[in-house]
Amino acid sequence: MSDKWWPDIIGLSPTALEQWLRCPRETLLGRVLGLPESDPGASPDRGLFVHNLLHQLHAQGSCHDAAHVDDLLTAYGLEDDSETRGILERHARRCPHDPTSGHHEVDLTRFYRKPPVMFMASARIDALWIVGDVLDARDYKTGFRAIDRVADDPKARLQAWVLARFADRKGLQLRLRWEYLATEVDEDPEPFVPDDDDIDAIGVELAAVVTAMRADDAFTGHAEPELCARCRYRSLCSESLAPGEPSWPAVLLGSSMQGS
Amino acid sequence: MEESEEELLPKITAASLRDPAQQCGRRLALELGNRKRATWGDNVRWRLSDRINADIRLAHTELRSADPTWFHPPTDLLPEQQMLYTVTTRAYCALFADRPAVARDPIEWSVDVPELGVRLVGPPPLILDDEHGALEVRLLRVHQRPLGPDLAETVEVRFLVARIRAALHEDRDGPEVRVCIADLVDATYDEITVDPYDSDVDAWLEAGVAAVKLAADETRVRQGHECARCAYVPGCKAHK
Repeated sequence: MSDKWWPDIIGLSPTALEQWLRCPRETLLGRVLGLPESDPGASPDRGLFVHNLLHQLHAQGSCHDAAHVDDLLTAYGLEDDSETRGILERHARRCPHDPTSGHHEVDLTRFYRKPPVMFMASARIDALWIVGDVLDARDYKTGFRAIDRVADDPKARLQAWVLARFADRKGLQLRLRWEYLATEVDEDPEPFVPDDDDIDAIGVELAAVVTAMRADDAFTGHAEPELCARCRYRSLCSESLAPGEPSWPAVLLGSSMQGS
Repeated sequence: MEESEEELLPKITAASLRDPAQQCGRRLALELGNRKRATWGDNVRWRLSDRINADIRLAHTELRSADPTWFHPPTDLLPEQQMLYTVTTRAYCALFADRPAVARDPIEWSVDVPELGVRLVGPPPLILDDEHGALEVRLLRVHQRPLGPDLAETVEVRFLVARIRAALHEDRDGPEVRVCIADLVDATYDEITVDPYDSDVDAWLEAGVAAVKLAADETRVRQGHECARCAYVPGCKAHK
């Protein structure tokens, strides 16, 4: 086992899991060593803005209240922004009516405690609604859809595993739905409604992933041209098939910089 | 001989001072009480910045400006870390070009503040005397989030100043200390002058410590993404 790289308890978020499955070398450089990205990707600002907007929409009223939606868009100077209005309309068509309760941006964790494999799975859930005896968990997506079933995505499976404990404690059935809000996506993937066997299987899967992480001492990258071309470390990684120039500012010898 | 938990004063870190009421009360209480860690965290991510800081300190064993020819990427680091090492040390030499200084002996990780009954814990900052004998602190960061617009009011700088004052309490070189904050990847630089003996420092630290003690409560457990980095997960009721 390679204990020199990892802490005693490995933290596993949906993003961290996806990164490991995408490329172990990327995990080493970013997650383990904390090195700065050499090639930052697209800005997440638009996605973050939509998440915050939906949070505010529900915190101050209902997304089904057209007047409330108008007021919110006007407050942001977006009353004529058809794209954003379209996102809110598509969301409202999917959002539960009259939930018993609802919460946004909920941080949940679940500890797997079977040494030598110990990990802390965490997930930030965009929205949690209690509707009857169902815990309706939503993940808002502003990008393109790549799956037909939520249950097929490793990130969703981790989310479900974390949520299941919460649902059990409240005596609710979990339903995990990914809401795709972009105009290009007509239909959401099939929601995941896991039973106990599904959740147990996911726990085993995640434990196997963490075991593999601990056993890996080389962190060999997947080194595929298309994958490397999109990697945020492609100009730093020693195994990159798409190296470029790091985006860090070039510092000239003999000069000094004042101010930031 | 190692001090026992009971002999050590309660532990305060910069992290604990950052909005303690919003943090997990159990973790705060256990850290404050110097309770032995149940698990160890991801220390490997600090290996490069620790090495950079150590080599820069070594470069200032006598009064001089650092020169890039003195820095050689350590062979025990990975190729990617070696590249960053070169980038950051060159940036340091450029940002502090023609600014000769000599490093003082590093202060301890843990500095007692007897009047508040606590100890302040954090990595030793780079403290130097410039060519005029003035005291200068160089806070060297490696692509970390910006501290904020008003540097003197940030937790990081205030905590740094409080630790320096506590460590140099017998050494009153002058009323002011120049604090230089440089990010060696982003090539940013800021400089402020602070008076470590200003009564505002006392007031801030006293209020901060009081807030931590108030928030530290083993029964107040708060789940969140910080659980992944907590040293006291085994035994926590939130994770049973």
